[in-house]
Amino acid sequence: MDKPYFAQEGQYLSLFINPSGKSLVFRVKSIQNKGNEALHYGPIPYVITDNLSTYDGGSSTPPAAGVIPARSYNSIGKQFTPGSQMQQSIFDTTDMWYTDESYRDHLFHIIQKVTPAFIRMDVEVPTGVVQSRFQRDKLITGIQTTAPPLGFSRGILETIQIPRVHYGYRWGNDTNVPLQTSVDFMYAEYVIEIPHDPYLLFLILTHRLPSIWVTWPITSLTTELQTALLADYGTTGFTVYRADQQKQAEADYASQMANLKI
Amino acid sequence: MIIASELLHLHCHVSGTGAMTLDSDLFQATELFFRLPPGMKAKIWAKSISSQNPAIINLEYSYDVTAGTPTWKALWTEELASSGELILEKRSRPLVLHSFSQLATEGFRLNVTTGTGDVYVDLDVEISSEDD
Repeated sequence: MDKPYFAQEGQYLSLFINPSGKSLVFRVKSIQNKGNEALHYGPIPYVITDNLSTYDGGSSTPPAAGVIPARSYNSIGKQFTPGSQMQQSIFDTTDMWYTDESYRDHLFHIIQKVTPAFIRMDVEVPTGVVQSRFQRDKLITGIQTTAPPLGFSRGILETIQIPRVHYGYRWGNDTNVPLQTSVDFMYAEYVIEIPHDPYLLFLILTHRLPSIWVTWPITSLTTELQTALLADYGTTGFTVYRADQQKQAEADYASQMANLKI
Repeated sequence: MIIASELLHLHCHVSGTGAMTLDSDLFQATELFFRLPPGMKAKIWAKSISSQNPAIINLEYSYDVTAGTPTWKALWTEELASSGELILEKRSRPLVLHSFSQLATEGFRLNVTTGTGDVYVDLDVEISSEDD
């Protein structure tokens, strides 16, 4: 993964959807929290009643809130519950990053950093769906893998969170030591629109016009995700054509313009 | 490619001889050894040793900490000829310990083989991705 960075005002952001070969394209109109990107969340949201899996075939429970036991991971993704001050005000009291389609003109670009940085990380999109695969769909990969370990990152995870989807975050500790943890976010809350010009979309998706290119970490575009995309934006994305397919691309994009919701 | 790297301060102690307990602000409980995450290595940048009496301290490495009786080999030895303190820094080239296996059964510990009284070792250890 290349070093993540945020879009600036007026820039384009492309959210590429691997399984469909399509991409959403947004223009960043403004950034709500420009200059105030840091958010210290605190320990990972483990509680002492959580039932975790271990890399050695057993189960474990956190000895204290926010502590990830030795050789353990959460097999089911967790949300970030909002802090006490946020609880009263934000959209969802169990998931601080979740909104519904009425927030379709806002998009969260989230960089999660965990301490210690050697903790494994991945994300379920939506919660309960492990998305990483090897050799098409032969092997489900992710933080739970051992021989060999693959399909996860360590220390830092970048996501684009769209409305109407709960993301499930997973962490794994493959050392022999129970670890105190801490999560810090760098995030941007973009105010966005979708370009309604088919030619402009073609230029962006053939990389002739620069955009921040982020790949959605999914290998399967589930029905739930398709429903969310249509409810949020009126489209499941724009097909990424070859550079020699301009007429076909523009005709395709033009046919979708009437359905766009932003 | 983002490199994962965490700098730990390990505070290690034993009274007499034997494996030293390892502690850190990142550790919820002390341990007698540290098992390396797969694909990562430990870089030991600095050591500080203090002892009430003469002591021999080994940094030991095992290829399989999961064995019933792991085999440890000394990769660094320091002998204090008398009570006191010794500070060692390797700021240009750290001591590097690697994980090799898929299951990453490798680990390291500190072991005092000769000594009486309290022996303390403080290590600055960086746990870093293998391609760093």
